[in-house]
Parts: sequence; structure tokens; C-alpha cells
Amino acid sequence: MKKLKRMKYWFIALMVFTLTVVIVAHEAATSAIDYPKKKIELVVAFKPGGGSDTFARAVARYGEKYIGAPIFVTNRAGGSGAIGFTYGAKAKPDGYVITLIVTTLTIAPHTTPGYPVTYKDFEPIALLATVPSCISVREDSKFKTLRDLIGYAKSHPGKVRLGTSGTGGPWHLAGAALGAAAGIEFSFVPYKGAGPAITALLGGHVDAVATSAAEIYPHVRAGKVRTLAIIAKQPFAAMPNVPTTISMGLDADVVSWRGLAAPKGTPKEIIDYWITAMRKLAKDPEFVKFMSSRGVTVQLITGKAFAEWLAKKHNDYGKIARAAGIACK
Amino acid sequence: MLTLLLTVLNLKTVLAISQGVALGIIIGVLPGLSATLGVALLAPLTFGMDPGTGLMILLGVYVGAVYGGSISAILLGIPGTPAAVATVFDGHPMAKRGEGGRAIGIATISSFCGGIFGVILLLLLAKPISKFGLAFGEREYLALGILALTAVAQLSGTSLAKGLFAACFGLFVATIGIDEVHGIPRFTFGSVNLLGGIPYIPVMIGLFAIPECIVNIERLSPRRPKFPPLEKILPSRSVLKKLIKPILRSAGIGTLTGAIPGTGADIAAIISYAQGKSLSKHPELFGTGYAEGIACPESANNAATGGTMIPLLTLGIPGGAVTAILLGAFMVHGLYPGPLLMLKNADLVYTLIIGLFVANVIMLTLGLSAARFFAKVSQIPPALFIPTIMLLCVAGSFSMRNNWFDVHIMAISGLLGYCMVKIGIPRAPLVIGMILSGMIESNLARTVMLCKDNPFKFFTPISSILIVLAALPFAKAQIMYLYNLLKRVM
Amino acid sequence: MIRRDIKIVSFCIVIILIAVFMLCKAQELKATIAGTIGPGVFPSTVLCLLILLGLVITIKSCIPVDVRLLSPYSSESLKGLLIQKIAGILASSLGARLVVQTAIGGGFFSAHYKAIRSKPDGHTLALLSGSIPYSSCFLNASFALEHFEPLCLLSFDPYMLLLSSKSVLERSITLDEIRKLISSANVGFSCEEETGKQIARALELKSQIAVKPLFYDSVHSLVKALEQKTIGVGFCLASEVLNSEVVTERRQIIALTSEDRIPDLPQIPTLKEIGMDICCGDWMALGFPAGVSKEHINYFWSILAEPKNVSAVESEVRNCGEIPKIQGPDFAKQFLKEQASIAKDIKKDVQVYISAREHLTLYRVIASIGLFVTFVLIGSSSSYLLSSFCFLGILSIVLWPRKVAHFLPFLIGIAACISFAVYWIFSKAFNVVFP
Repeated sequence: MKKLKRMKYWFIALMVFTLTVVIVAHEAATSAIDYPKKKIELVVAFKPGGGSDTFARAVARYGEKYIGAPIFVTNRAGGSGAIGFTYGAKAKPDGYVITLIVTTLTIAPHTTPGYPVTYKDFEPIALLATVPSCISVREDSKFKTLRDLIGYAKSHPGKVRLGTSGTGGPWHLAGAALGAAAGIEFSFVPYKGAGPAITALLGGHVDAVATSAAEIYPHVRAGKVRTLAIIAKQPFAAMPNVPTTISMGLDADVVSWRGLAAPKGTPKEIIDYWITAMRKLAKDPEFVKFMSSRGVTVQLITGKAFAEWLAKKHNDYGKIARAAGIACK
Repeated sequence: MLTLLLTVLNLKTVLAISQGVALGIIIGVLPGLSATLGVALLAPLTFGMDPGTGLMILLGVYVGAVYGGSISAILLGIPGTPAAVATVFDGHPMAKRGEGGRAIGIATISSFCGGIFGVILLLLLAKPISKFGLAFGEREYLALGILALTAVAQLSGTSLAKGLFAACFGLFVATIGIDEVHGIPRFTFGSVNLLGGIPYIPVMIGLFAIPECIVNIERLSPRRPKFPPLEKILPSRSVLKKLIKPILRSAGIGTLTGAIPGTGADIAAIISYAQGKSLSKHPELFGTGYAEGIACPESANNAATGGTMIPLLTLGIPGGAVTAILLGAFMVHGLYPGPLLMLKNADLVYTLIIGLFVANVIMLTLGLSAARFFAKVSQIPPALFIPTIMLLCVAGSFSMRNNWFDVHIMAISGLLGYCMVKIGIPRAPLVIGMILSGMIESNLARTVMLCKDNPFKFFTPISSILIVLAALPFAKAQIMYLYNLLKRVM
Repeated sequence: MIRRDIKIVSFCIVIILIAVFMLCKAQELKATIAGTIGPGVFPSTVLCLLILLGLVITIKSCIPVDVRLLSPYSSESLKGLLIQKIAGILASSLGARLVVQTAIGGGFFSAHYKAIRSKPDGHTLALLSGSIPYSSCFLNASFALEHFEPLCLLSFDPYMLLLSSKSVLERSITLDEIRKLISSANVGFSCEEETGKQIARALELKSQIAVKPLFYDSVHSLVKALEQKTIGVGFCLASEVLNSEVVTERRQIIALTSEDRIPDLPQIPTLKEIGMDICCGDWMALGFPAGVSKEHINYFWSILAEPKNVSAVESEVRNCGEIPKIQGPDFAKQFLKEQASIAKDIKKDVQVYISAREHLTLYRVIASIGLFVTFVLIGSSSSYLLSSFCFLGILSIVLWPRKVAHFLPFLIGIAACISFAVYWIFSKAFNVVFP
């Protein structure tokens, strides 16, 4: 009984705290438009606990004070994000349902037949973060550099087992882009997500693995894994010594990006309001610290520029998918 | 180490852990809310606290949720979490007989023993067990999946054909959606919701809860139901003595299964129930409300909580969905799980292990003291109780993904389950088929990729042992049959 | 003799048709991709297995069966297990194909209803029991006599009279002492109220003393009340006491309500020996639907009465915690008549009561399923809170066993509280966004 009572007090304390934050935040964010008046839902199209989910919760937590209303995260997982994105795209365009859009939105329409939603169904708000992909091997592997790997793969086509986090996913695309650029043939071994793929690498069941740099970084730090190259234009901040494929002359560039979007038809004032808030969030020291602790670089592109960037990425990834032979259209 | 113990065992941390355990038990009891969802929802709340306390609360929630599922499995016949599926088989018949208190007592003590065993193995044998877990490649997973599937034979009751029928149906239903291996949608008929696949938790809720409710409606009578209040919760010493061996064996199975990345408490419970049944002296009593039938899965699923922590703490690999969230929580606190964690933050690791131990102790005390309260629930008039359960099923299945489609799925599987109950087709194999389908198919595909030139490559040491374990009950039955035949001939 | 189980055949055929349709769909998927099995291989294999198993089950249920045993206990209970074992013994000694059909549920869904509806041609057997919840075990006996022709008695579980552990006697009790106990203090019953009331009335008739009955839910609470001196003597089923360790002193048991002493407790006298001719208890019997010919009964009983079968059935009954009493059709009929006579005053209402309840159960089940499906279908398009409140309220009104009118405001209030509580817990604590 005592424990229940204590729980009740905790709960009440939490409610009072939230109420205070809400009131204070409301006063802090003065806005010319009559928005926001109630809670805002941030839709995450993936399971709780995953990378996108943690990112969204961080945005919600640190962004609340800039938005001026509590933001709560809902998980609508399924179908490589199809369910969540469809919900976000078809929601009422009144600014109270915002979707966290990720790389999958620009890749899945090319690789998954029947994928129901593309970036065109959204009104983009802002790009918040990017993480480059990379290719890594075990610390005790015989491949010391990317050149070794490419050389071996050229002489033994189809023998190098490359683990990916799912056929048609961003990291499969990264591996395929690298293969196409270097003219080698990987044997792709798909796993259900990056976790099992990295586990397989550590267990020696695959020769190499293509993942996001943030996901493999903890293992690199632990000294169990060596990253051969970053498959992107810019090097990865936490691993500055790892060369990029572009710098090695290989034209392969696949990044995992995360941004916010609203349903098409949302009034411009609300979009601008969010862009202003996101600009402030990107400079928020705690948010940046949180992101860098997980190896994620905060990169901001807003509004129209984001829409153009999305279109370019959509076309680029489509080209890579077709070149790698994994496209369905 | 001793100083650590003293720092951990102060009132504030113990209170924090007990809050976590209590919340976890409540989450476990409510159908539809699994341990994963509970830990995921509570993790952000702990980000502001200091790493030790925050992570210990999450561990408490995990331990509590895995245990809490068994309470609704026993009293209501609805597994509160997927890990409690195997507890329904013997727990609910025992409760229907009026021995719900004893059943909860056995479940609590077995969970406690299993959990402590898991923690001890975590403390002493983390490195070798993690090596074992890492050695699991596609061939070993396939063999494990086949082993778990043979559990169907143990759960089919009288008719093996009906059990396999249900299992195949479950295996098929889980293939709807996007193919894990090739990323191609199957059987989706253009529906976005089907593209996401059919989640097995609403199916489990519908399959077990709705038929229970409807059959209880059929049995409604003006007389008061005979649900005796719980007088005796602690099982007698003789009962406990008989249960020691099954509990220890199941705890071992649970810890090892939990340590295998990608498998969790649910598969551990299923495998240990099947093994327990095949190795028991009275296998035919399993499923009728037999104490061993509760002890085996319960000790296994709580041992698995310790087991899933092994790859997390030693290698930084999540052992299951819950530990994946814990991994995220670690990183938020600025800790990088992996071999470095043991070196750089040894204190924290030992604190967590002690915290897990304390959580199990608190689970034992809370469980035993709250058992009476839980069982009073079954004394609520059925006219109110049954609609409330149905409403909880609807709310629970919706809350998983905020998708009303899941409620449709729950209703359809509820009506399907009712038909199956009337006809006599066991429902458990269907759920097992759904849980294992993804694992078996994707590992089969990867194994074919690996072994298509040389099929004998499949037989690695671990996979061979698992296949032998899977074939053992069948072989035993055949050998006994032949032996009896020979005896009659001679 | 063909006994087809329509339900299972139609279910399997529906599933097979769906599987065939899905199999055709699966053929559109490629067989091999990227050096491994394609997305269609595993589902196709599983579907083929499904179709095969479905055919096996259909054929098995179409195989003509000589005897079917209708059981009201699910195969997952001890009693269900017992029935399977007895069926096995019968089948092997009859040399006939025998199958157990489980029909749990009440009213139209019960095993007894099915048995009554079937032809009395000796191919249908039913398990009759005193504890099937129509009403008291005496009314069940009356029901059994009216609609069934008993084949044999399987088990008889008499009531025990218990004293508190502080007032045990060193010698057997006398009739006067029992009469004093009944008249001076309350008498406790650990069974259904109706059964207890009928036993109390029988006691009154036999002893000419007014009985003040008190009812308890379990043996444990009865024993507790005995110790607390709330009651002077307690009645409970012998099997409950023998299977649990609640009674510490054997001397607490003073008498049994059976005809003869039972082998498990040879030193306990029966009430009949002491001088009060009451024989009552819980029972299990096998019976054919009424109208079956005497030849069938005699044939079956001759097989069952073989010593090896009797001992086998006895040991199975004992394993399941019941007290065996294997006796033939004449004894069973006489026994049931005696049990029914204890409730003879209320016999005439049984038929109406039971058939009215059967209809009510059917309507309740249909209404519940209908309400549930409606709620699931409209819950997303209309407000969840409102529809959950309507669902809870209407369903609890439909299921309320007693007169609904007094309880209407209470039910509506509780429905409102529960639906709001569920909504609040899930949306606030777990951030669920209800429609």
C-alpha cells in the first residue's frame, strides 16, 4: 500500500511538473498565429526503441519549449514505415500531426513494389540530421583497407558476404552503390535490421557489413570492428581517420537522414512557425550534445531547400537502385 | 564489491527499483502491453536521472513485466505478455479448479528462482555464454527454430494432426507482409495495413481471451461463481522439492536461450515447456493444471531476463527487443555498451547486476503479497468482468501501434479462436507458429545461400546438437513403440 | 454407422479453400532470388502442408465411428483427461472405434443438449455428472433420469461431516450428538447454495430439527469457520478434503453421507450406520439418451464389468482425485432416483428452468458476439470513449443474471467508470491516441 501511495505522489508530482513546463513554455513562445493550441503528435513510423524513435523523442523533448506546446510521440510501425508515413501524409493538415520522415521514404518507393507513399505526399519542414553509411569489417579480418576488400572481391566475385539491414533498405543501397562504383559483386546477406547484422559480423558469419556510421561506432570504439570507408561525401566526425569513398574516387554516396514533414496542404504560417522553431532547436546546446553523444550530426536544411534536397535524393537513390539491380520500377 | 552492495542497497535505489517492478507487473498484467512497450515508454522518463538509478528502474520494469504476464495468464487465461503463453496451459486450468493462489505462488517462486539463476550466470559466466551466443549463425538459428517448433508436438494434446494444422496456419499468417529477406510484399492485396504484416500480440490476445469470455457467457448462471478466495499461496515443501529439478533445468534453458541474440523470454518459455514435458515423469498431466507445467516456463522466462543482459553487457549487442531499448538508454546516458563497458564502468555494470538481483527479490515479495489482491479480481461478478476484459483486449491491442487495424485482427482471431475451441483444435501452436515463422524462414533463406553447394555444411556442432534435441522426443516414442512391439513378439 | 462431425469438416474445408486461393497467389512470387529461395517458397510449402493436414483431419472425422462419448469437460482439465482414459479402456475392450467429443459450454452448447438431441441407437454415450452447473446435483440427477438411460456409475463423492479440531471425539459419534450439533449451532456447507439448501432441507426432514445453514465458497473457509466456532459442524465433499491438506486431524471427520464406507477412509462411519438415512454427494455416470434398448445397455455393461476393466477404470478415477464407485445400470438408476428424491419438491420446475436458460444462453452469446463485433467495427469512426461506454453498459446489462431493473443505474455508473478509467490509463500513461 505504501508503495502504491508513493507511486501516486510520483504521478501527481509528474503531472504538476508537466503542467508547469507547459505553462512556462506557453508564455515563452509568443506567436502571432493562433497555433499551437493543444498537444502535437509526432508520428514515428518505426518501433519504439529504435534509432528513429529515440531521435524523435529527443526532438520532442528539446523542441517542446520552442514550439510552445507539448509534443508526444506515437509509434506506428509496420511495412518499412509505410503505415506510419501513410498516416502522417493523410492526416488533417492543421499542424497537429507532424511526421518524422527518414531515408526509407526516398528509398522504399524504388525497391518495394506497391509502396504507397513518397516524399511528394508531404509538405517538408526541415532536415535535422544526417548520418553517413559505412562499410566495416571485424578487427581481425584480413581486409585492412577498402582497396584490399575491392581487390579480393574482384578476384572472387560473389564470395564476399556483405551483411545488410534488410533488402531494399538504405544500407543495402549503400552496399550496392559501393559495389556498382567499384565494379565488384557482393553476396548480400539480409538481416532484420542493423543490430542482427552487426551481431553476425561480430560472430564471424559475414565478412563485412554496411551500416550507418552511428550504429557501428560503439563497436569501433570498443576495438572489435574496423570501418574501412564512409560511403558519403563528408567524413564522419567521430571517426575522422576513415576515408570517404568520394575521396577514394568511388562515386557512392548514401546517407541516412531524418527530418520533419507535415501533411500536404498545411498552411504556410504553420510550416514557417515550425521552421523557426527547428532553427532554434538546431542551435540548442543540449540537443546538439545529445545528438553527438550518439554520433549523429545536426544538419539543418529548411523549407523549399529541403523539398529540393528531397527530390534530388529521391532521384539519386532511384538511380543507384536501378544501377544495382534492386529497383522494382 | 561489498561497498558497491552497500551503496546500491540504500533506501532510495530500492524504492526506485520497487516502483519499476510494480509498474512492470501492472504493465505485464494488462493484455496488449508487453515488456517491450513498457520499457520503451518509460525509458525517456529515466533519461533525466543518474544512469545507475535510471537503468535499474528499467530493469525492474522488465523483470516485473515478464512476471506480470503470468498473473493474467493464470487467472484470466490471457497471456499478458508473449512470454507467458506457455503459462496459460497449466496455470489457467489450476485457477479454474479453484487453486489460483497456489498457481500464482508456484509461478512467483519459479520466476524468482529462474531470475536469480540468470543473474548468477550473468555474474559468473558472462564471457563464455556470450561467446556461445555469438556463435549462432543462420544454421544454428534454423536448428533452434526447428527445436522450438517441435514444441508444437508437446502442446497438441491428443491430436498431433490438429496441432500441426494450427502451427502451419500460424506459420502462414506470419508471412503476410513484406518479406524479411527480399523486401517483397506478399499477400497484401494492396492494403497498407497488411503491408505491415499481422502482429502476433493482438492475435494472441484475441485467440486466448475472446473464446474464454464467450464460453464464460455460455456458462453464466444466477448462482454465484465458485471461485474460492485464496487461502494458501505458498506451495508446500513437498511440492517445492519435486519442482527443484525442473526449475533449475528450465532456468538453464532460459538463460542460454536469452543469451542468444534475437531470441527472448517467449521462445525460452516455449522451449522449456516442451523440454519439461518430454522429460517429466508424468507428461500426460501437463496441460491439466500440473505444478511442473507452471514452474518450467516461468523460471525460463525470468532466467531469460538475465540471459538477454549477457550479450548487452559483454558485447554491446542487444539480446532481444527490450535490451535493444536498454542499449539506447545506455547511450543516452553516455555509456557505450561493449567490452569497454566492463573495463571503464565496471562499477556501473556490477551495480546493474545487483540491481537485477534486487529486482527479482522485490518481485518475489510484491508478487506473493499482491497475489491475494489479484485473485480477488476473479470474484467480480462475471456480468461486469467479461465486458471489462473484452474492453481491455480492444484497448490493449490498439495501444501497441495506435492502429485500429490491430483491433480488427484481434476480433477476427477471437472469433477464429472460438471456432477452434469448439472444434478441439489447440490454439497455442498457432501462436507459436506465428512467433517462429520469421526466424525460421529468414534463416532458412540465409542457410540456403550459404549451403547450396554443400548441404552438409549445415551441421555445425551447435546446430547438430539442437537438431538431435528436436528429434529426441520423436525418436524416443519410436524406440518405445519398437521396444513394446519386440516385447510382444518375444 | 457414420457419425460425421459437421463442424470440424466445414471448418477444415473453409481453411483449405483459403489456403488454395493463397497458394495460387503465392505462385506469382518468384521461386529463387539472389541465390536463395524466393519469397514464395516458404509460404507455398506451409500452405501445402496446411492443405494436407486439413485433408487428413477431414478424413479422420469422416471415418465412421461406432461410439461417440460426449464430454462436458475440456480436454485440458483433469476430468477431461479421465474421460480420454476411460474412452481408451472402453475402445480397446469393445474393439470398436470410439471418439470423445468435447462440448463445453452451457445451454444449447452443452454436451447434454447434444446427447438429448441424438438418436438413442446405442452410438452416443454421454458423461453425466452432478456438478454440471445447471443446478444442484440432485436436480442434475433428476434431469439425468428424465433424459438419459444410465449405463453405469463411475464415481461417487460423498459429503463429509467435519468438526473443529478442538472438539474431536475419541470414539464414533452418536445420533443424539449429531442432532444436538445441528440444533445448537449453524451448519456450514461448502458447495453451491442450491445443493446446500437441498441437503439442509433433507436433514431437516430426517432429523425433525430446524437447520440454520451457512454457505462457504471453499473447504478452507469452512474449516476456518469451524475453528472460529461460527458453525458447529460442516459439510464438504470428501474428495476436496482428501486431495488437499486442509484437515489436519483425521478425527475431525465424523461421518460420511454414503451408503457404505469408502475404502479410502474405512474407519469413518456413514450417517446411515449412525441412524440418519441420508445418501448424497457428487457423482459421475455414463448414460445413453433415453429410449435406448436394453440390449445395448447390457452389452456395454458386460464389457465394462470385466474385472480388468473395472480395476483399470478405478485406478484412472483415483488418479484424477475422485472416489471410484463402479456399478451397473440398475444400481445407477436406483442411485439417481435417490438423489433426485432429495429435490423432489422442485423437480417440476427443472424442465422449464433448463430450457428457458438454454434459450437465454443462446441469445446472450449471440448478443455478446454482435455487440463486440459492432464495437470493433464502429470504434474507430466514432468517438472511442462513447462507443466503449455503450459497449460496456449494454453488454453488462445483457449478461446480468438477476433482475436487471434494480441494478440499472449501478451498471451504467460502473460502465462509465470503467470505460473512462481504461481510456485515461491508456492515453495518459501510455500515450495512446484513441480515435
